Amino acid sequence: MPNLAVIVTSSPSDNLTVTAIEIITAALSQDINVIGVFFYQNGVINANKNIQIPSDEFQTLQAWRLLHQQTNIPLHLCITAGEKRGLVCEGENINIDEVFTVSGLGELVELTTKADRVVQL
Amino acid sequence: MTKTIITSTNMSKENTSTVAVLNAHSSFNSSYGKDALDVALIFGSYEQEVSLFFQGEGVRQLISVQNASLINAKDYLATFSALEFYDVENIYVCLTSLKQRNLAADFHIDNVNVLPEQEFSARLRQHKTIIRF
Repeated sequence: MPNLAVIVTSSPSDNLTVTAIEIITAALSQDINVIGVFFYQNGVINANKNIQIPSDEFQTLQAWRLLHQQTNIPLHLCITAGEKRGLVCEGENINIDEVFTVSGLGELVELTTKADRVVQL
Repeated sequence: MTKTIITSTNMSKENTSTVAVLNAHSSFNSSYGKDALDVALIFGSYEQEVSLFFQGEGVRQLISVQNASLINAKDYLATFSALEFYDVENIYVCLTSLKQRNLAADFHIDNVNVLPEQEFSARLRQHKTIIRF
């Protein structure tokens, strides 16, 4: 089974995030093994659980939660990029949603190395 | 929320791959350049084969004599000198992009390969993975 890794560098307000979720869903339905998603640059904003998206728009965080709960695909985020954008991973003010894993760029190397193909959105 | 820490020592070395980091943004308008450099350096530090490509506005990142402090920007260009230390030696710039901007091939780092469009494209396609910034 081929391994796919996905890099998300788009913010949740960009429709490319929706495309990322759709690509992952389509890959899974074709027996492609999605080994992980890595969030970098504005992509890390996807992990902010305080984001409020108008109810008539695509609910990106809900979609990531559902994806993770159904598939257990690891959702790694670069914490350096996250902290720059207001994400907090420790203390009382944690705002990173629990389905995300706080990681560093080393995880990007790991995923890229294991993957047969990498898709960036 | 969980945390994972991977170090370069606990990853197997036989899993090498070729990665191209493609730069298409200028030096200081955004953090794309620094984000790309950080990615290139991390691949280098894990002893992965990584190449840097500069095309379009991205070629501006290589041009010598840029004064970041004048516009209160962090001088991440100085960190390009660390590439050699991590054995990141394949650096390519698109000749057409330089010409379109009337820029001379005068760079702030050594060993930059200036390639015509076709060769630049061909070299890029030799890589298994392209990460673009």
